[in-house]
Amino acid sequence: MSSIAFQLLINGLIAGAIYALVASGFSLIYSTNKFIHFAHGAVIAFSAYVLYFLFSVLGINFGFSVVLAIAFASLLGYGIDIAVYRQLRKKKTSSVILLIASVGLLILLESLILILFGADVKTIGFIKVSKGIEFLGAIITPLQIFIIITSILLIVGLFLFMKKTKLGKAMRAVSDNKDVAEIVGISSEKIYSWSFIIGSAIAGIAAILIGLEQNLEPTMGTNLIIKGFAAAIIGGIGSVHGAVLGAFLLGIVENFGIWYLPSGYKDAIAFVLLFIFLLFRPQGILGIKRRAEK
Amino acid sequence: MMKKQNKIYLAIGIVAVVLIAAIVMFTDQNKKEDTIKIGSIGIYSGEGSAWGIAAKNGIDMAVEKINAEGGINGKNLVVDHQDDKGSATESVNAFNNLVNAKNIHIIIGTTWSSTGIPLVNLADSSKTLMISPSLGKPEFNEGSKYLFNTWPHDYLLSKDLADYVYNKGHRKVAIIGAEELWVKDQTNAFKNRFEELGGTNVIIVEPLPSEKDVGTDALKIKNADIDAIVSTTDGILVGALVAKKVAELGVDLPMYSITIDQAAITAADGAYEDMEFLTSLNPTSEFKETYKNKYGITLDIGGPSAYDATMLIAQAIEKTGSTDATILADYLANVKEYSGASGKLISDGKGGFNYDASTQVVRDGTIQEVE
Repeated sequence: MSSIAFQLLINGLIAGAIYALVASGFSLIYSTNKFIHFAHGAVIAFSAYVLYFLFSVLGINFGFSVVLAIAFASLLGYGIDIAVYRQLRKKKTSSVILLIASVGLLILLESLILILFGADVKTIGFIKVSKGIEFLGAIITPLQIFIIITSILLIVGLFLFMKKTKLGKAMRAVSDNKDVAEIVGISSEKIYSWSFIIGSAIAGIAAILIGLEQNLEPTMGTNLIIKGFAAAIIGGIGSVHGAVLGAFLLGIVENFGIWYLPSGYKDAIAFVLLFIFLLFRPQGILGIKRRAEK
Repeated sequence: MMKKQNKIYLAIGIVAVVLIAAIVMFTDQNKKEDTIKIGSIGIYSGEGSAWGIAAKNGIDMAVEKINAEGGINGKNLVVDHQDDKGSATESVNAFNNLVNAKNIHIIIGTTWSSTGIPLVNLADSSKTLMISPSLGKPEFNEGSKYLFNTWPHDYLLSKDLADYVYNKGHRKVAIIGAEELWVKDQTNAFKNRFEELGGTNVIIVEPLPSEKDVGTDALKIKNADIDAIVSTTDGILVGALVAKKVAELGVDLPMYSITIDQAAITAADGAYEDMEFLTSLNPTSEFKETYKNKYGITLDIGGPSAYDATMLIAQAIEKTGSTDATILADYLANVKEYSGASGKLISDGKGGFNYDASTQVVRDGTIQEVE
């Protein structure tokens, strides 16, 4: 493999890892709640701004700021579920109404960021720009390595959590059949809330890494959730592992694609890939595997 | 009996509401006659707001000064600010709100070409005078007799940049642009002039303005045989991200640009260090100081030019004794020179005003004059 191709692969993995961080939390929430929680993007954005506020404005220790930002993300996700979605569920509203509410929340939270932090671009400034490390002819920064490793660890961790823990098994049960799960004593409402707490904590981790790698702006959540959503569909909506696979595939295809095409076509490449999946494999990458398993 | 009483109370209530509304309308009408209303449309939130807010502040400063000195022909100037958020749709909505709903036919704006060009025909057909403080495409002010611009056209500075880079001894460059109307204009102006001089534009990367993953754009630049990098993105922050990724890939070449603002320098996270750039933002030191004292922030693009736009409108109203947009446009078309906060503005005879550019450099994260 030439150094250019290897660098493109690295670039694709970095982009894919970021998409995976977004898509995994989003997909975890979808798998149990069965509606598209677009406000997940705003949870990421808000948490990134909280990190900025704690570390860059108040000057709190970075490690402590990180912990607080993740805790904030979790609480925000939980709060959204309790204050909005649970109330709507009580009224037996359809998934479409929940989806509309999530879009409304996305806009509301982004507007709140705008009011609280202003419109200008913010940088966390923890890591200064410097030349990356050479690895097999490609260059990668320590932060980018950390992003990729974190994504992989998160996937493994999520896999083990879903397979081995009681809560993870309960989540899978609710995801498979809510009514049957309730018959065996699993409270679906509690599981919904747990999926928001855990999914949003992943959003908090994503917020930190994305905040360090890119700049912060109030509308960053919308852009992130569009790619995260596309990755989740490509991977198989509802499958956390599928979403992660879809994210990496999306990142790699985009980066190899724009090596040959003008840069402005990047989003077009992503959506062409999405359409290909929607037309020929609507169940996504892991959708087929799961059906075959059954 | 109770029902009858309720009806009487209801009737008294309606009469009271009608009377209050009439008094308010009458008072408002009287107030309106004592003031001259103008509008402003700009990017007051989101990407580009550094320019928009500077312009808004510039307008407010001018209005404050005019009113403190007794207003225009005894009437106070009032400005109605509308945020277009950098969106063409919002810009058209803001225009319709000002012109059709509020009957305001004198507007300062817009911030960028992408929000200003869609208003050209609307301004012309509704006979609305507009002066942009920072829009760079000539198609705006050359599209109608009602449209003016107190910010020099982008292509002029971009052509000057090509000369500057060529004279620095560079012959093969990479251009960081963006898929944005006016940035493409700047890219093309630089590219054409640089090639005219004998230079080669080896590669041009133009990501979408909203793009965050620009590693492969940076790789294209790293892989190119070049001796300098030119950024034509100025206020579009994706340019800063590409520069950041280029630095991470270990590319250490001289960088040049135009009209860089503090927001772009911050977004570049150190990647713009030592970058030289040309800018038309050369305000008088008096204006710069007053602005800093008043707002506590460094002056940005749009501030002095919006101040000048407001002052030019005030001068036109004062001299003609009219607020009719056609009369004011005719007056402004005959202004050949104007000494304002931006410096000495010279009319191009097509609604645009030009003034000298200066060369500046990014040092320690701040903008400094090139010695």
